[in-house]
Amino acid sequence: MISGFLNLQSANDGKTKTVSVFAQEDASGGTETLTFQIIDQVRIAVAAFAPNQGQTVAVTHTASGKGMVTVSATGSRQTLSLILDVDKQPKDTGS
Amino acid sequence: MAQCRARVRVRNPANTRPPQQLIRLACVLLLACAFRTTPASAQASGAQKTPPAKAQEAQNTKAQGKAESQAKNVNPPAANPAQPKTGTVAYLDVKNKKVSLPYGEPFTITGDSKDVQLSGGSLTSLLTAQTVAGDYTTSDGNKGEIKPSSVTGTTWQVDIGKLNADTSVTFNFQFTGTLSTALQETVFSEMTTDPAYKAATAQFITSAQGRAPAAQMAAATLLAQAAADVVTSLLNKKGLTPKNPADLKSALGAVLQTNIEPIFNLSPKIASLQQEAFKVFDLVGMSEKDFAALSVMQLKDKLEGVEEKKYQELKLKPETAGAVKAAVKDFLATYQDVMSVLNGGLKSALFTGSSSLATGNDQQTDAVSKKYGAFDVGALYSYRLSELRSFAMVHIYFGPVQLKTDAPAAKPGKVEWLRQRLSLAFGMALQDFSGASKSKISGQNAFVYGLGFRLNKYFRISAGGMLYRTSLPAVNGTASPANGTLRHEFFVGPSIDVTALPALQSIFAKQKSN
Repeated sequence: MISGFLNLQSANDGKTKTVSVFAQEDASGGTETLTFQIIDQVRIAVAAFAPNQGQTVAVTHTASGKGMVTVSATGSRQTLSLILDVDKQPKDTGS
Repeated sequence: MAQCRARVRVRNPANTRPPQQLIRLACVLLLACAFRTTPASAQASGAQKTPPAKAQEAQNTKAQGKAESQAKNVNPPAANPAQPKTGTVAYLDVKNKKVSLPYGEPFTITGDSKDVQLSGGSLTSLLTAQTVAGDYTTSDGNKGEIKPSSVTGTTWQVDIGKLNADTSVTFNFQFTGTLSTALQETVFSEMTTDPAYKAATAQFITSAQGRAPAAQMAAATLLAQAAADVVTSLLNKKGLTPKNPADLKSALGAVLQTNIEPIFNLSPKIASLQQEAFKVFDLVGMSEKDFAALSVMQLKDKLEGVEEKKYQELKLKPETAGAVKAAVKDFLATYQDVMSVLNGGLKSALFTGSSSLATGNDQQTDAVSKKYGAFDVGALYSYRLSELRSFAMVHIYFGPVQLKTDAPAAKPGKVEWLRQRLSLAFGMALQDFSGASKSKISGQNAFVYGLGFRLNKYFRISAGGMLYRTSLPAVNGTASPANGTLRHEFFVGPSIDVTALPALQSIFAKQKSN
């Protein structure tokens, strides 16, 4: 189960827009499903985690503008919402 | 004074001799004259005013008329910087009611920002004051402008125009400057924990989630408005009052909406750092519970001081420790962004455009009063008679004087200093209370005259002559040839000016204060 999120940020290299987050797994480990709500788009990412492992999970999207980006994980109460400008180049740390 | 006459009449109903009657008549006339010199009695009876009073009134009327011709309802005019000032009043003395303000001449009030207290604390803790301005209103309905003046360091001075005598004046000082850094941080910290802001944030997330950018920004408008309300309220609580609250709220809302990204993002970033999984509390050597209770400012201070090696000491896998380090760095950067927004944005909202003049307002009231005479009671000592006697005296000043001796004089110089204190004194020496068994004063009463010198607002030293009719004992059955003759003796004694007491000021020095 995901026990925390850090560093939710977006990136845009001019061709591809991505949103990434550092997700921390608890002692159970396993496959986690992360849901990204990127302004008006939803993206799903599935990643395998070892116990107590943390890793960055990223998804691509085509949303544009400044708006709320939220990430959550199935089976976890953890969620992180930030306002991000997903069009910002070359790199947006989310302020 | 009326009491004085009554006592004379009652005490010696049978021993009234023609010379004593003359003395008493003279005393009564002098007392009556003294009463007529006071403005209050003159106004009440419609009596003609004394020449100094008339001259003063004419001067005031002339000044008033001139100012009214220049600007409606704005009188007296602000002091002309080129005009020599005859008095300087300390702000602290005005604040502490330790001084009567001068009348009839422009003067200056000097102060230190550190002495100015607003509801949220000292002015210096809230603002770096750059200018001081304001206005003042007198009890006779006149208004004056305090022209903007620069604050040098923390010291400032403002020019005040002529004030009419016998009025009270209320000053509204407005200090304008940049919000102190500490205040900005305090305001933001309080905003993030304010229930109204928290509710607005929750509402924003609910409203914006999954919506198109335009709809999300509309939701952000509501959040910015709520934040502006909270900030405005917090500033008001600290004594910083915008001149136009509606404009300020509008401008502040626009500023916050433009910069909503870092302002909104700070709270969720803090929440992430507070997750047990990342053990950030270990970085700062606190328990998880205490760490969660830190304010935004405290969290920033704690994390700023974290050494590099602390991250390596965390019981986390390297990739997680690296992410925590990046998240702390991101939080501190976001915090700085927020402070920049508040510093630049709030300042622009508060001090420019239609919403400008959000200032620290400070109001002080003091009296402008003068007096022409005084009524004293005290004790006098006559060395040759070896008696200590009570006396009642009327003191007549050489023109109008300030109620308080330490008030700035209307004119500079030692002569004016002396004139403010010196008075002609006339009165009656009454009963001996030094236990003299056989007083040489016939009928106990004697006419006294001399000069008085005010030591301060209440106390005076008087010295002069005492004129009395002798009452000498017969020697071997033969009356002394000196018996029944008029004699002079020197006297000196302290007295208290009862007209300086608040209840009696309305008679001798009309005053309205507070």
